[in-house]
Amino acid sequence: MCRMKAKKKLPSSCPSCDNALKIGELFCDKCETRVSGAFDLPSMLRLSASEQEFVMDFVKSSGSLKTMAVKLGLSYPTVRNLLDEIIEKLNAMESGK
Amino acid sequence: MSVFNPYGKISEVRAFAIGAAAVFCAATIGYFANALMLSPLKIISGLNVAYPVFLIAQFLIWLVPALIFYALGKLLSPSHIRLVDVFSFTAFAQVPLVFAMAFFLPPCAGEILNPLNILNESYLMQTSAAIGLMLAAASLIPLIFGLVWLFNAVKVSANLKGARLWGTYLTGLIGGDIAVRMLMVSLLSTSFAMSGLAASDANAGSSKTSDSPIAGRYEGVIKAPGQTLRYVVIVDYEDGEYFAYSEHPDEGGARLPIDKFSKKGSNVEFSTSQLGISFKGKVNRGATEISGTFSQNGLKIPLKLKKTEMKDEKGFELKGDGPMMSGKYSGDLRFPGQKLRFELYVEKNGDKYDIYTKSPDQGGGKMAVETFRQNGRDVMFAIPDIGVRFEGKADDSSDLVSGTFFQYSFKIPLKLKKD
Repeated sequence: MCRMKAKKKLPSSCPSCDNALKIGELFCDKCETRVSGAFDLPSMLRLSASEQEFVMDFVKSSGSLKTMAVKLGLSYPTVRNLLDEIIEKLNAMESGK
Repeated sequence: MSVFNPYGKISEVRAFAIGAAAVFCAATIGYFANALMLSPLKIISGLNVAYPVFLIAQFLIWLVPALIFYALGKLLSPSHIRLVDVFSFTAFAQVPLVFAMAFFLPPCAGEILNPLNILNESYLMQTSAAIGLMLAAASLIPLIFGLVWLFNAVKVSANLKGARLWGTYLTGLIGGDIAVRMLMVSLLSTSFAMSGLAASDANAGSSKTSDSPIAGRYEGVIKAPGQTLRYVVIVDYEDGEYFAYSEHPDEGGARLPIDKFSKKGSNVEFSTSQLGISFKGKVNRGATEISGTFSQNGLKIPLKLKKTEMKDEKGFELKGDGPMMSGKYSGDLRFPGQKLRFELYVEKNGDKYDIYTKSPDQGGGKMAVETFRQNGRDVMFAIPDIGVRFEGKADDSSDLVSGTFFQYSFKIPLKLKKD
């Protein structure tokens, strides 16, 4: 019987206290090397899944809000407002470092 | 997309097209309802102005707040906002106003907007007033929707939140309301809309006429075979009823009650059974003219009555360098087949005059004179209710007055000598 692998979401905040999570260990799938430390999550990965998807779509649309609006079926100002919210969030993350 | 916020998924082109159509629809409905929207917060009725005025008002209600929203949005918004988004979303917010205006199509709804009717107890007792009130109240529902849509239009198109959003919205709404009213007052006072305003202007100085569109004084000329006669109709509207009378300046200034005066839409009908007169016609949109057919005893004549200023000739005025008339004056009226004695009394009590006539051969009852004028030697007096008018000249001592006595179609020379 073949089971579909569930898509995992990378958590960005602690489920216990909501603090920003850091990366403690990275490992190589091929040679099983493990790297331990305390690494900050990139800002992009700290966005929600829908926000990350929005940013990906925005890049793939060559940065055109008009194309995005058509693709998402939303009004131009709504798309613009979503982008501005993400920008604001990223700026807050960066200034919080 | 929710019913309160339709702006999530609508494109600016579609919003603009629908909004522009809504502006035209609201203006057209307002025109037929005779309800002019000066702002979402103010609707007035009964102005009878031209259609372009309604269109301009509706456009201003859209454009002026939109300009304010855009200007403040540019200042306060963190986003790069576009003019097209603000204007198109604000236009779309006009859609509920179309439904609000539709509630004023029934005449009873428009009447409730007249402040004189609101203060009129007998009007408020009528069924039509209750229906009008219900319709006006019902129009508040789409109106509130319109205000909510306008709020969300600002929120989405200008990307504002919190205090900035509320500040921009209220400034645009209230500031726009004030600006549009000022612009509309200027527009309404220009000759562009004057054809509709003659009704209000003519009524303004008259204590007898009300703000009903057809109240006032209308004068025309009856061109009958062999003669041309002036004909005046004075219309008043009180407590939901029309009262009217006619005056005949070329027939002694006689004043006669009009039995039935009715107006349904633009159709006007009235009749004076005493004289066998009837009239059927139409009043124009500005209520400045009534045109139709005048009939008397089988004779039909086209008649156009134009609105003129009310003439208030009542009262007494005696002035001049020499002695004025005072005391009792007597004379004889020689009607065909009979001679009647006529007496005129001019009595002064302090600063006030008491002027009246008596007809000793017709019971001798006192008949008050409505208008008396002596200017030097020129003398005129009138009792319109019985069609009496006298025009003549007094001698140097005002002891003898000679002139012509008019009563309806009679013109009789009359000399009045002081007893």
